[in-house]
Amino acid sequence: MNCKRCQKLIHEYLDDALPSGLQSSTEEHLKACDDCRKAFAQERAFSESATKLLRECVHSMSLHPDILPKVQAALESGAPSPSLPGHRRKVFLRPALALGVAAVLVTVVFAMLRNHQPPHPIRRAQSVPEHPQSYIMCMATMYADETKTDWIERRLIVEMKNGVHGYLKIIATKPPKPTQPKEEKEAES
Amino acid sequence: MMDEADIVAAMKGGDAAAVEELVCLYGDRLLRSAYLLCGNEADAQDLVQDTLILAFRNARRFRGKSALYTYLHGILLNLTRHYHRKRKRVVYTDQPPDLASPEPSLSRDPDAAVASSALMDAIQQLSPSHREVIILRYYEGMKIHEIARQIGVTKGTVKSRLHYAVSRLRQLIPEELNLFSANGTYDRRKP
Repeated sequence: MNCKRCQKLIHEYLDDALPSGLQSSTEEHLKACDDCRKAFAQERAFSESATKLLRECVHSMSLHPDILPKVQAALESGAPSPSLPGHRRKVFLRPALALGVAAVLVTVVFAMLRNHQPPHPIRRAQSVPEHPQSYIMCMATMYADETKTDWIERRLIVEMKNGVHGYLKIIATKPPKPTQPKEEKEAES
Repeated sequence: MMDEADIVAAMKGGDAAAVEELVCLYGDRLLRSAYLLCGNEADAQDLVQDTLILAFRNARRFRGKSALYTYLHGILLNLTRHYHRKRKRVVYTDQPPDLASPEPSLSRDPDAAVASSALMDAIQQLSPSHREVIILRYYEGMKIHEIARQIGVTKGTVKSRLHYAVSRLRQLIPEELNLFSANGTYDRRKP
């Protein structure tokens, strides 16, 4: 046995709680090793002193006579003591737990709604074209049929009624007629 | 006078007479341990009161595998941990912790009174987990495996905590008290 192992076993050696083989080998090591013997003597001295001093310190204390009636009253009434941890948990932790669960649920639902992308190509359009007509052409390309621009326009109107994204309402309107400049009008007249 | 088995049976049956027996048998012992664990006599009284209430309410869970005092002391330890957590949450000042001065000792030996006071002060400066093992080891006189079972850790953890706690006490306790010497003044006076 080495010193490190011996000093690890000092408490159990003092307790007489080691298996007989280990107890005897520890004892042999203590006989042979000055350092370990010193450490063992110090531990035993502190153990004895501390035990005596701690008992000395508290030996005059006794339970307050009010405690017994208080305990009896609490047991008869069945009411929890205000300082008991279980009572506290009942009052504060349950609402806190419920709030925590609600917060997690709200976060999850919000994240799901935000990440949700409908399969319709209109909603998948990433950018808004400058001109409504070009948007309709763009949509027609997406549908792989440029002849169906009217259908797409109607489709957009239907989508508007169903509450599609706001910008569709603007771009689905027909482009305003180009106004002639005043000078040209005068020249014509 | 009821014996331990009778008290346990009475507790499980909800017999209020067992409370009185329990207080007579273990009240003072629990209080002293509670005082050493929390460092304040008024709080120690409250802790013992709550320990007795919880012990009675949960008596059906006691399977008789340990001594009744061990069962009571286990409840006291749990309540003391809760007490320390609550105290940690509440105290926000920069003031040093409100260490209650130990009870005036009735000892006739002034050296013992000084050493006792120094040891108490030093123990109150340890962390709750280190203080716990010191009290269980040196006041309750428990063996390493008993402490491990009582506080729910391995024997190695108990030995490690003891090692660090005793090292810290060495730093905190004045050398002239010689508590760690095999020929210390206190021991020399009381062979």
